[in-house]
Amino acid sequence: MADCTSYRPLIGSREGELPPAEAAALADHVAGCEGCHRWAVSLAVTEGLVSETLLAVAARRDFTDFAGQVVARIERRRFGPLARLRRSIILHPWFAVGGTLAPIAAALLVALYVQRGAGSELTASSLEVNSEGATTIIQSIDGPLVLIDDDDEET
Amino acid sequence: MDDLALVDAARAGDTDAFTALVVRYQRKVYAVALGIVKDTDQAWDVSQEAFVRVHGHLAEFKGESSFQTWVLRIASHLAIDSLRRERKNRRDQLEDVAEELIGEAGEGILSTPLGNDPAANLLRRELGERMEAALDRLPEIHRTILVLREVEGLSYDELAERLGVQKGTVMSRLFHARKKMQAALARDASPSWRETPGGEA
Repeated sequence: MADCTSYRPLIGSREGELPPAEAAALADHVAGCEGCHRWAVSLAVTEGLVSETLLAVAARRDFTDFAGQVVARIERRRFGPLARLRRSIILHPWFAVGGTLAPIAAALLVALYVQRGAGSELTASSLEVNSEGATTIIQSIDGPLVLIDDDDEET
Repeated sequence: MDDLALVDAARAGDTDAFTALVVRYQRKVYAVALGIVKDTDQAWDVSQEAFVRVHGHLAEFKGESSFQTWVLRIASHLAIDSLRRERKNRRDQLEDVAEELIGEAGEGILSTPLGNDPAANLLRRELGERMEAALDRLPEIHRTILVLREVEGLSYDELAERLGVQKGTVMSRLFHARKKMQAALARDASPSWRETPGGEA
């Protein structure tokens, strides 16, 4: 029974889908197992029926307008209001000007960013920190800034 | 004119060539979509959308697989997506098939009464007539995997990739789908079938 549990889901595999050794073991098992043999026959009975049934249902439906509707749908996508809006945005002179100016604007932004980055480096390098005892003196571009320790204040 | 020639012509803007491709595959595409989504209007919409997508991507079709494989793949993707979108609002269950019948189905309940020669069996036609209702009763995941396997013809590996699951899961899911389908087929079968699943018909 344990064998059946593992073998039965393999029944219905197509040629080449199982490793050869497994396929051979399955064939041996099915040949000697009445239950699995019945399952295999049961599958064979219904093989292809799903496809046949669905195609039969499709065959009963009237497809006269189908292709025309598909083409109309494509045309709507191509020339419909949304497509016109998309095209009008893309082809609008502002969009063209924007597209031309975008790299220039990006270059300007990068330059500005780099300059600001360099500026902050200057500020940092202009700071000199000296500690004299418990008092800290920071040399900033605005002149020395003296930080007095609490103990100094008391003395 | 073969598919590739029609694709080339359609790619060059020939609407008639594209229409010819649609007409050639519309029923098969619809069959796949219907098998997955069940609803006829939704299947119609999915099928049309599949051809619209095909048209939009004709330039990318390299002919490495057949046109049929390509269009069916797009259709089944769209059908599965369509189901996923509405999944939250649905509770899909196998309502009418008794559990014990599913258990019996795993034992091959259709085999004994039909005999061991399926090709020669006249009752197959009767089964075919019942298949539509049986498919209708299957839960979404089982119906989908059966359609992908049996209509689109996907292999275990392709199913695993398409459904985003392991190959072992594919085999297990397919087994359960088949069991439920057989149970659903047997449900409305003539009493002699179900009364003697292991004995003489």
